[in-house]
Amino acid sequence: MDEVYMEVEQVRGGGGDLQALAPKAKLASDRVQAPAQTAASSNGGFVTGEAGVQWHGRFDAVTAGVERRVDWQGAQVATSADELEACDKEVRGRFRALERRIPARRES
Amino acid sequence: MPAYEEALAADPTAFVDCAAEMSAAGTDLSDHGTEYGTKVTAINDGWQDQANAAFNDDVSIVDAHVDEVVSKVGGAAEVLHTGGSAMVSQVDQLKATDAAYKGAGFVVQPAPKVELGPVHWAAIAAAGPFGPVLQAVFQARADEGTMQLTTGLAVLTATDVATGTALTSAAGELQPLEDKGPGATDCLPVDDEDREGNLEKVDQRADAEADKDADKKTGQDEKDQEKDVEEKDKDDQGKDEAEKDKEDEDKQEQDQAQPQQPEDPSNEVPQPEGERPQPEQPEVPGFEPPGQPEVPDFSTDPITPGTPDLGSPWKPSELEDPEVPSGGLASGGGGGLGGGLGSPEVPTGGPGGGSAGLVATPGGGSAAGTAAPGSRPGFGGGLVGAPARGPVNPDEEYERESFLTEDPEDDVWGIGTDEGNPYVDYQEEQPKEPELPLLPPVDELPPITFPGFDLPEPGKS
Repeated sequence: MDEVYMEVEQVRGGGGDLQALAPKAKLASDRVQAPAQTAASSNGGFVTGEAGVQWHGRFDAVTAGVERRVDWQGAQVATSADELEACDKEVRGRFRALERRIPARRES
Repeated sequence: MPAYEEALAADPTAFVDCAAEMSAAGTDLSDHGTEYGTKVTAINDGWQDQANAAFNDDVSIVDAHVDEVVSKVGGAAEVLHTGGSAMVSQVDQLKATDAAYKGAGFVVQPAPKVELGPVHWAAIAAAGPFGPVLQAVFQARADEGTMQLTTGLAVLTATDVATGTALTSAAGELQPLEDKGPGATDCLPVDDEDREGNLEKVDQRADAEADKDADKKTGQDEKDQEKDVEEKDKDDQGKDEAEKDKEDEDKQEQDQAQPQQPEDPSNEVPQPEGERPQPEQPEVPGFEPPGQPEVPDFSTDPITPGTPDLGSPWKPSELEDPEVPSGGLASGGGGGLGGGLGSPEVPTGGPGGGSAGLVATPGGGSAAGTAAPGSRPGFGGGLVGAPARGPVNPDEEYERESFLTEDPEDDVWGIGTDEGNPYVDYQEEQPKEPELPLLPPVDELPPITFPGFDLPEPGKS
């Protein structure tokens, strides 16, 4: 990468936003659960009823996977922000240490 | 495949409702993806580096996945909506036909089969001589009704099967994203390396393996058994220290191990003459585990009658049963093998000089504890192992007990097999014996060197 740049607070907040957004993926499958159950129970003997429940199970797994993935991404982003901030502080501290030495030599 | 009565009682509108909800779920997921994209954009605005590039690579995977899922959800919703709507009309028609015949006094059997009802028989009876003619007319209507209901049910069933099959297929196409986490990926590679038989890495990573090995306990190799025991003991001591050691060791291991890469443990032992012997000396490691496990084992065993298998028999078994001691030997036997290697080495090393001394003093505690790698003694692992070993050595009985308790039946069986096939074990040990000859040469070397110097002198002279 040619450039290294980060607005730490913005990125950290973005990671938090991702983690907050992640669980909402599950809502998509949650809203199908009751209708699928109802369709199966009110249509006994129909292959389609069981297939609908099965489909919801898979869909639920998919949305759960998206939730975990997005949550993981959010955590990674936040971690990256923390790490870069820590690194930045460390470098800043080193520069300050150097800065202190330089004037001291000049004075001497 | 609904039966006729089930078809009459069915409410296919629920399918249509479900389809509508599925479609809405697809929209929700699409909106979720849009919002996700917004968040990602906000993050990217303030972030640019390699990590951000990697993040965006993963984001593209999620985007593609979500788009695909949304598409498939839409397709499944469409299938269910179409099939559900068809079934609604088919069931309605079936119900209407059924109601019409019942209203006309016919009896509808669940076959489905329409039969003449009491009303018709009464009319036939009242018709007198025209009864048969009237009956034929009624029966013709009934047969027509049977045909209609049978056909309607068949069409409904076909629609149901087609829709259900399509929906099942659509469900099969939904593949969840693979989880990305710290746990799984890290653990798996370690196992593979261990299985490859790289003793050095295995031994060093014994701590890491401990958790895994506990499950595995099948005791593939004698050394593995040893490792299990050691690992368990170490686990009791403290995982934290072990983990720290691992990290350091792993890094160093990679550097050290790569060049040597011994395939078989036996081969490994002889090759590393200087460093290797210390870690490999199974005697120390074997002794170590027993000492540490002693406390937990005794406390746990009496307290937890939970080990019913060992429960009543365990005390007598330890004392009397040959198997138990054998098991001790076996677990130790792993150590025994390693020990066998180590023992010959030690005496040889003694004469050789530095090697034996190193093992006994510094390595003795640290290296043996790890059982594995000589590297440990140097690192911090040695500290942990060393204290435990001292007390351990005297208590061999405890070791046996501890092994039994810790390694329930699996270890015992593994031990049994080793003992049962003592020939096999001995054979394995024998190949290791060649190591002995290797070591003596070391002793011989120094004398050779001296004469060597002498020889050149005369040559020079």
